[in-house]
Amino acid sequence: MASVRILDDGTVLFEGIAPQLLHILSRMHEAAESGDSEVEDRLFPSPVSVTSEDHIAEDWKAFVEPDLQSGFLSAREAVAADLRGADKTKGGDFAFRIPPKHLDHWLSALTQSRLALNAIHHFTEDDMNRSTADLDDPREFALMQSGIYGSMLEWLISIVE
Amino acid sequence: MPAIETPATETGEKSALDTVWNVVVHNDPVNLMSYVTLVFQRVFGFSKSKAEKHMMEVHNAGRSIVWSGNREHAELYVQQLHGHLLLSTLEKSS
Repeated sequence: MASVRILDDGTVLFEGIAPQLLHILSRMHEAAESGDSEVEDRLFPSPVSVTSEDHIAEDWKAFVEPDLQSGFLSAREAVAADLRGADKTKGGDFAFRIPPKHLDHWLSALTQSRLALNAIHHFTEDDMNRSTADLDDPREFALMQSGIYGSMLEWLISIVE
Repeated sequence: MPAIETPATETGEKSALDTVWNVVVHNDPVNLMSYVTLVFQRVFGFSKSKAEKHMMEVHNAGRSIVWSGNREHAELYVQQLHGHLLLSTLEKSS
């Protein structure tokens, strides 16, 4: 059974992680890196909402978006590194650590993934409040991913607050 | 001798500098309420209660003006909010 401990140095230690759960966490980066135009629109929205300010949006795309892209990528890479460091335990489950300096990266990567999954699959509020059905269905699998990432995000927020 | 005209640029520059810009955060059904509250605390230094008030305004009214001031600072705030994946825009104050 999965358990979480906070070590003296602030490292968050996850233990008893089933291989399936580790696999789902390891797929966190996929949606954000899908190249889907709706994902790009959501991760990099316009800074203005009126067309008379389009010149600001053009400058934004040229000068601000590259920094945002770099920051988002760094977060996903930090999370991937933590998950690659997972150790297999005797019972076949896994344990992994989130160092304190990576907590913000996890918040970002989990949020990126949830937003990207939603941009691709257009989950409704009803979807987000129901159980998932056939996990062979990509949309249902994505809904489960989003739910797991949301639960983990909520828990990590309670730590950093 | 013709009258000396006031340079038009002076008036224009003053007008641009005087423009107040709002930083607006828009509702997003995916971002967690606790996450939005945390971001407001971090970016603007809001107390938790003030951050929650703005978060609830975003949730209920669809948008909240979280800061007003000059354009340069407004852009920096919007950049930070986008860096935290919140939907936000800068708008000229009416």
